[in-house]
Amino acid sequence: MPKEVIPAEQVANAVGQIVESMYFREANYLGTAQLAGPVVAASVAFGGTVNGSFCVALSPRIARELTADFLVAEPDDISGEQAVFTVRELANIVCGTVLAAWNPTATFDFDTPRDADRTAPVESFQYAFALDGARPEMAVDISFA
Amino acid sequence: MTGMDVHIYEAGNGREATVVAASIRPHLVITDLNMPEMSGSELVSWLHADPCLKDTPVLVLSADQGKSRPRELIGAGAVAYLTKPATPEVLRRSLVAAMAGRASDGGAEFE
Repeated sequence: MPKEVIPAEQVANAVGQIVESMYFREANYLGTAQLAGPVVAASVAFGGTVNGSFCVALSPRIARELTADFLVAEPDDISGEQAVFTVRELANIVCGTVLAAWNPTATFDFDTPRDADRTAPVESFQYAFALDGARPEMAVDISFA
Repeated sequence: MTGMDVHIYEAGNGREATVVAASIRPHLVITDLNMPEMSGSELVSWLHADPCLKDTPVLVLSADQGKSRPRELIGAGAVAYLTKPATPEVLRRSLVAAMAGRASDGGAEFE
């Protein structure tokens, strides 16, 4: 069975729309890249027409900033727990949006988002994004079972 | 919800939501679909089966954009199905429509 691949353009468009509509920020697609330093990551497993999982990782700084944007608060007032919740929710939304764009007629079931253990910068991510400047600080990995 | 005269009660999952709903009898429930303990669809069915809560309008707000999902949830008793990311304006309009439907007892508008 051929390995499933979701075109980078669909992932980039979905992430760009989500980040802009929820956090009023611009996500610039960089391709495959490593995220330097520690990350806050969450994964969502999906099943249905095909099975797999999404992993979304953010630098701690961007996780706090996006949370602050969403809650209309200052980044310094955001707790680690709130930032983790934001990444879980972002993984959930990215998963739903990308799968709907990739296969609009399919029905998928999503698992509850879970914290993911990703070690940076050793691993590279399939789809990396810069939210400020050119440094990758957000990334998405998609794997199919 | 800024500027709206509402009190918001939160629950961490569907199971907690049943406890909160039974306790305060809310005018409206907004729920996610994919939650630990009890899913949003189970919550909708639970609310619909409770004689005291069966008329409470439920808005489902989910990342699941599957085409058949809105029909399933509305068939189970939800009044609207919104996909994330939903803008504050869309959420506000749906909330107002759901409450108007409740007030007129004529059913809420579907999105």
